Amino acid sequence: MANISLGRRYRFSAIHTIPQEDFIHGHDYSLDINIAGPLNESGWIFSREALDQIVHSSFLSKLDRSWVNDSVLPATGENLAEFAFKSIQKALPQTLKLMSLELHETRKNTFTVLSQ
Amino acid sequence: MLHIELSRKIHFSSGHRYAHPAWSEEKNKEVFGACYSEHGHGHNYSLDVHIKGPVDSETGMIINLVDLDQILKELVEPLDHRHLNFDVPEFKDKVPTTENLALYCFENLKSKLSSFEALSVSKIRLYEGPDLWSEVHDG
Repeated sequence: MANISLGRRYRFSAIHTIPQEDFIHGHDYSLDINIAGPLNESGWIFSREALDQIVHSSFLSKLDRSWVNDSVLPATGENLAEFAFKSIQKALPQTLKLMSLELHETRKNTFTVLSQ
Repeated sequence: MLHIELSRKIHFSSGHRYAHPAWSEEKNKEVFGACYSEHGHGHNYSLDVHIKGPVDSETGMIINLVDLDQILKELVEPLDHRHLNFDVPEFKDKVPTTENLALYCFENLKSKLSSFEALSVSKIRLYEGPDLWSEVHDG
């Protein structure tokens, strides 16, 4: 039986500083998520509109144009990726599993969280 | 023995329409929104295939890219510049969602590669656009 997942990319911009740098700076982040679950009667894993709403209300609305240090400390990419993973996973219906999340902070660095 | 994975990309463009034949117009509109329009709409799809297998000691290759490209060309030919709902029998009664189209590509690719006994398709990822994709691998 083939395993299938649905992937979606979101974008947001935020500002942060980390203790090692001491400079305040911002990034245009990309957030890639992959969710798994059974194909339903519609022929898809989940409605894109419903997924967008969940990701927006559970994560993007809090982080986009925000001071990351208000949400996670230290405000590193690792901690932000973990925060995003937990926030989105908690908001998804129980029939769906967040398989992986990739937070692209710049074109050169990416933080990946995989489900256990 | 190390198994190395090779990935290759191919592009195609198709039209489609999300419409469940057993549902009323109201329900189709409610579930599929803008994807349920009279004529449908199109996408520039991008298909990444990942092939796994031993490296041939003489050629130094998992598979010759010329052969793989020919297989990929044959795979997407029935889809490229077609309307999936009307031109592809698989989607006569099945909604051509990204997920269903990814499953179609995965199963057909496996079948086309079956003559290469040492090779397997480790996964495929079908991009409907840069922000939406579906990935399939064997369980």
